[in-house]
Formats: sequence, structure tokens, C-alpha cells
Amino acid sequence: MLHTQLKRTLVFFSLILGIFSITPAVATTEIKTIAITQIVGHPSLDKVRKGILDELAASGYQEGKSAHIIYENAQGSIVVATQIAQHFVAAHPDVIVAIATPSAQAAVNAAKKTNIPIVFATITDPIQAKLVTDLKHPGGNVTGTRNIPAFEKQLAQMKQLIPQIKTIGIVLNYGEANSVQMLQMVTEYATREHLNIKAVAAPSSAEVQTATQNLIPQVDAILLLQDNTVASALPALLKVTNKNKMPVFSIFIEAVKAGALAGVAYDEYAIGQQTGKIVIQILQGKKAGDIAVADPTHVETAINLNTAKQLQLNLTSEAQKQYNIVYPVK
Amino acid sequence: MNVPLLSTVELGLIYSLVALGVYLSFRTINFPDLSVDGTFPLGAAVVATLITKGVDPLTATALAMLAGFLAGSLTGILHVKLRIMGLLAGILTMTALYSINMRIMGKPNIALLGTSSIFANDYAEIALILGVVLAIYITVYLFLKSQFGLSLRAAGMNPNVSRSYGVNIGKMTIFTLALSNAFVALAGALFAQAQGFADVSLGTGTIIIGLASVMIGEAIFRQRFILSDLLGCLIGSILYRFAIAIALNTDTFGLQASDLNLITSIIVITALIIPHYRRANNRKKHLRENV
Repeated sequence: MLHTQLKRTLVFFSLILGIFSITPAVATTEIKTIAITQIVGHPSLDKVRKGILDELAASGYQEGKSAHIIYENAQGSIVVATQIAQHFVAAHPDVIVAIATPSAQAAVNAAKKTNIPIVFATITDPIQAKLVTDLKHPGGNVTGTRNIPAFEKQLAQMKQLIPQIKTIGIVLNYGEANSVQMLQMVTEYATREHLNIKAVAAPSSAEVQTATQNLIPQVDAILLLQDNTVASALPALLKVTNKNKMPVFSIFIEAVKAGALAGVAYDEYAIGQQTGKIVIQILQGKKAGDIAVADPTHVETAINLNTAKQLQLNLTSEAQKQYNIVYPVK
Repeated sequence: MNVPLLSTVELGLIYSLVALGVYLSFRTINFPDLSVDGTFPLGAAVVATLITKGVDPLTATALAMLAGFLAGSLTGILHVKLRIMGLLAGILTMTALYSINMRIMGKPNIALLGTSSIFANDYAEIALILGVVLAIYITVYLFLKSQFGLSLRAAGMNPNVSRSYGVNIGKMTIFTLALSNAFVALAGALFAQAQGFADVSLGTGTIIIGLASVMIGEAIFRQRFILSDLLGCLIGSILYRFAIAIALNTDTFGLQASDLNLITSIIVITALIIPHYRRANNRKKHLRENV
């Protein structure tokens, strides 16, 4: 009995192997194949991807024209991200674009024995993530764009709107690599500006509201980091801060639209465009290792006048002009 | 359509240790153990931290396995000694491990790209993984065939009768959970070294992957022998990886990237209903022959 089953399994296996051995060649000489891998669907990451695609399209690299663009999303699973990377490497595209750290690490590992160029996008610390060893001269086949928070400008904005500010509260999930790193960075900047940081942990989005509630009596303002856990519980957080007239600042602009007071951030769409530019350079023959890792340049500042009104902050129309995104009073 | 053969088999082999762990807890002692979602990243965390601290990769891998063994015994002790419901005991360990993994690593992601590992080079990588996996499977096979293994299986099948024959059910449960989680942590340790990084969110869905692999294996082998069960885990795990690798060819099938989870579910559901369908067919045949 076992024998016939084994035989059947073997037949099944050889059938599968048979299917895979007739893999068609993907790229012709004219059409460039660009493979994009992203760890999870997230408004910020989606914006980066849109920036990349628009920049590529502006230079004629458009699906169906002179490019074949493959896109896969790991839906938050790191194992799937590694399979996507391996899948891409097997397809041998002209360039692999990896959005966010685990996807980039998986791509670099999968492609280490090939000469497929890899362009990472919106990574906070590419050196710690061991993607490159040098930001100016990456060497090898890997380069990309960084995304660092504009903390200096953020703290200046907070001081301007809340002049008596002394202590800043931060809610974060210590499990998120970027959040922990951002907390370290903002603490450094804050110390330089003689501001205190008070951080509390919210290990899951269900705990964000309680954490915020505990924080409110101890701080003068709350700063939102790019923390996915907090971002997904944003309405719960804003509900308690609004009730307590606690000003909330954010290093991602969507939060200001949702009801935070103000924010400063590097524009993610622009980071995507920068990434796209690097991809184009590589498609036109430049070596990835010769292209420096690009820092974000385009800053966006936003204010929500509705929230300002609730907090009884009066902004003159002159003061409003310094923000390039203004959400009006409802 | 393209499917990277070797790397898919390699991932399947690594995850076959997860399948083996889930088989031991879920099928031999009927314990749905959710701690594996924590012990997989635990193995990765221990190995990555120790290797970056300069510990020899082989020692680091062994210590990762030991960490899994301890975490598994914790679940067992919570259940057996403190009388906490099995499902809850696993969830408690899994939840605690999240914080522990963060403590071990000191940060949520440790990159190992370019550092030393137990793998000398890529060709040796898959061979070494195959060697480790086969060695463990053979050990487990011999173990389950032994006197001790027999009482362990009996403890799972009929606790009351086993108890009356003098089998210590509590000890058996703790030991099986420890062993199961040691294998899962080993899988995590191998994954981190093969893929070049450890991440605290690595464990998401490990239990589902393990269960799916076990069940795909059961759909292939209908008879319940130890050998066919173990082969089922191994082959089921590899097939599960192939299912995902095929599902990734979304452009071939006119699907989009976000359909992946749905496709994975459909594949697993298909694997689950095949045995029922066969059974129903057999019954019909049987009836026909008897008319």
C-alpha cells in the first residue's frame, strides 16, 4: 500500500518538476524587466511605489512599452518575502526594486551570487541592515534610497506652535525596527534642544489608547513616529488626545489629515521618484555600486486648522503660509 | 511561469522541521501548540545574536535549539503543572517570547548578510540542510518506534489506559512539547543563517504553515503509519512552498499580488478535502460492490 502511495507521490513530483523545466525566457533585448517586491501594503510604502512607477513611466519605462514590470507583495510575511526574492532572481530581471527592510534583505541574499542590480527604497539605516557597507560608494550590485525622519525641522515646528513645550510623549511598538531607531534619533535631537522625551510601549494596536491615556498627564505634546502599530490605531489615539486638548504632531502627513495638529516629513512620493531615477540610471548602463545611496530632499509640512481651532491656537494667514499642506476648518 | 527549484526545496526542508514539530505536538499528543509562532523567531534571534557576538555558528545553532527546548517545556509546565488550558498555555508562551526575543536581539532586526554561518557556501547550504533534516527525521522515526516512543504515542491516543499502564502522561506531554519546539527553533536558526537575517516578526503564521504541511502530507498518504506520517510532513512542507512559489507567478495567471493569501488558502483547503472525497468515493464503491 505504502509502495503505491510512494510511487504516486513520485509521479506527482516528477510532473511538477516537468512543468518547471519548461520555463520560458522572460526578457527580450528591447524590453527591460523591472521586478518590484514590497513587504506589506501600507499607504507610505504604496506612495513610494507610485513615485517609482511614475518616474519610470516618465522616462518611457512603462508596462507594455519598453518595460515589463512585475510586482509582488509579501503581505507582511517575511518567509513569503524570501520566496518572492528567489522567484525574482530566477526570472533574472534587469533590476530588482525592494521596498522596506525585510524585502531588501531577502532580495540581497537571494541575488548574492548573481549580477542582478538591486535598488532598495525608503530604508532608514541601510548599513545596519547590511544592505551596503558605504553610503557614498556602495560597491557591488546594491544601492537605493534612504528615508530618515526630518526630526530637526519637526522639533522646530513643535517649539514654534507650542512655545512652552518641555516634554514630548511618544507611543511606539518596540517590536518595529524603524520605530526603535527613530526613538533613538529623536531623543538625540531633543536633548540638543533641551527637550525631554517620554516613551511608552504599545505592543499591539489594541493597547495604543491606554498607553496614550497614561502618557497625557506627563507630557506637553505627543509626537507620532512612523510606527505601524500606532498608525493602525490612530483614530483611537486621536480620540483621547482631542478629549484632553493634547496637541499631536506627526512625522507622517496622513496623521495630520486624520486630525493631528501638524507634521513635517520627507515626501514619500518624492523618495519613490528618487528611487525611480536610480533604477533608470542602472537600466541605462550605470553600475549600481557606483551610484551613491540617495538621502531624501523634499520636505512637506502640514497643519490641520480644524485641530488648531479646537486647541485654541490662532494662526494668522501669514503663519499658515509656511505650511505647504493646509487642512482647513470643517 | 518560473519557480526557483533549489531555493524552494531548501525553504521547504527548513520548514519541514516546523511541520515535524507541529506533527509531534498536534498529532501524537493531541496538543494544539501555538508556542511555535514564538519559538521559530526565538531560534533565529538566539542564533543571530550569538553569531554577531562572535560565537561559533554550530554552537549558536545548538544553543538556539536548546532555547526552543526550554520554551517548549515552559508551555508543557504551564499546562501540566499549573493546569492552564493547552491552547492558552501556547498563546502565553508565544506572547512572552515576543518580549524575550526583543530582549535577546536588543532590536527588532539583526542582519547576518556576509557574516559567518554554518553554511560554507551555497551548494553546501542545501546539502547541509538536507543532512540535518534527514538526521532529525530518522532520529524521530527511531524514537517513535522505541519503547519510550510507543508509550508517548499511547499517551496521546488513550491517556486513561496509558495511565493505568503506568505511563506518566504529564512528563510525556512536557517532553514532547520541548522536543517539538526544539525542532521549530532549529528551523528558525537555519532560516536566519540561510536568509541572512533575523526579524522579530518572523514567526507570524508559523503554526498555520506547520499545520498546512502536516495536512498536505496526510492528504498524500492515507494510511497512518509513522513512516508515512513523517514522509508526509517532509513532502507536505516542500509542496506547500511550491504552492506559494507557483502562486507567485501572478502575472502568468492574471492574478494580482494581493491574491496570494487567498490562493494559499485554496491550496490548503484542496489538500484538506481530498481525503474526505476519497473516503466518500470508497464508501460508494463499497456499497455498489455489496448490492
